[in-house]
Amino acid sequence: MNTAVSRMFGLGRLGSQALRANALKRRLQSTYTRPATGVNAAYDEALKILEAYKVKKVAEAEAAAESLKRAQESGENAEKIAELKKKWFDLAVESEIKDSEVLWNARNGKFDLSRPVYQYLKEKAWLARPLEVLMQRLLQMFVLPDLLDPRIVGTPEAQLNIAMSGESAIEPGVAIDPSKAREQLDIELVTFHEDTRLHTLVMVDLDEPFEEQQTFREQFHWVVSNLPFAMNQTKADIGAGNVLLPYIPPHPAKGTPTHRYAVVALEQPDNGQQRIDSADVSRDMVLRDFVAQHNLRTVGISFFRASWDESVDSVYREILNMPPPSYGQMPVPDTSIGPDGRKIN
Amino acid sequence: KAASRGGPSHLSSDPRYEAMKQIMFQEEPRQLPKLTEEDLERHQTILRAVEVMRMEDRRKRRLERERKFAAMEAAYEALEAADPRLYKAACIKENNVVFPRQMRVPTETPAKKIWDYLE
Repeated sequence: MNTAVSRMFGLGRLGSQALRANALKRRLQSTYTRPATGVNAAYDEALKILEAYKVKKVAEAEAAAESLKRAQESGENAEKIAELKKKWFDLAVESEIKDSEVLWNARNGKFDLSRPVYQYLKEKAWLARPLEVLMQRLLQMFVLPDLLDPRIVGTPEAQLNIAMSGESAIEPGVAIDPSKAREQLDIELVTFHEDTRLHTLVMVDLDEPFEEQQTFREQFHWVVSNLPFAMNQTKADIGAGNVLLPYIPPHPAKGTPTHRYAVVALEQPDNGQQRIDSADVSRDMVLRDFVAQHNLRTVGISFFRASWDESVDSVYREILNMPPPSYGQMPVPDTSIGPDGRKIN
Repeated sequence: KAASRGGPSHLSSDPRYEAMKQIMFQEEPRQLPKLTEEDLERHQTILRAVEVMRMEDRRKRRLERERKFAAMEAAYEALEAADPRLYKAACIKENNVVFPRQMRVPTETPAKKIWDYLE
């Protein structure tokens, strides 16, 4: 008994060590395998306790579902129905969240979104670390005050994943080779609402040089409206949307500092039900004005950075039909050389 | 001797240092038990079940406490409806209330022998 207890006390640190050591083995497993019973008596008792708790909560969840159904049929007001729905959802989550299999699946990224517990765990996974990293990068590199008002954006509701040239999603703020973003980006918006809502996707270059005023300004690279996203439809289907501004790949000019390219997912008005079939968009617009003009709401945002390399020149020549610019310092006249080219004494 | 040579003073012959080293290093350091993946899973399940048990106990105690308080409140309301004079008397807060020692606060797990005050 004492050894068992003392073992338990020492296992806080061991838990994480064992997890790290067995991480690869676990990732290779495709489905959860329940540990054998009859080895640890405490484990067998634990299973019984968890099963009893689950049965109790499932009964409560069913009762809540019944009262929700009755309220919906009798035509109660929307507020009361929302309250009952939340109560049912919370009970449904609670009934399954203590299950080892569910937690294993969530840890390994297997979410069956038809069950409330997985919806809850998926959102929790997003809030735990990816959102923190995204917010840190957005604020650290000043994408948020420069592009949109951070007080209005708050923390984005949905997870926007940018993938390019067939690779997996990039980390927000990562510096990439511009050649990778030559083709249209693969955007994924992981939302946490069940209904399908229409969104507008905008890709903006925050650091386009503006020679006239010797500063930088925003330039729109891509605007697509009426893109449907839902909990089970996370990939952007560009064919289903209206392309208001065709995709132009990033073209950071030579001599300019690293450009930030932000991709923003904006929910269309009326909870994403209103369509935007045509809009007055140009490349030289400001996102704040665009959002205000069409009454959009920012739900997802991500960005990457890129600097000049040789592939950018081909973008200027082929797509923009202009000679590739090269920025640099104004040449300073050498005062020790006279007009005839000889050194002045 | 070492101190006079300009070295650290603790190299002098203090028997406590040797004793300390002996005590510290006479046994092998304790090894953390190495758990297999299955054992770790069992361990985490057990801790979760303990958490659920404690949650349920707390919930039961809270509900019982709330039930008793609600009963007390209902009694007061009934008294107020029945007889305002008695209700006011019941609401008087007495200072320096003294209770016999035997009327101790009931606990959920009392000792087998409460208090032998005769001895």
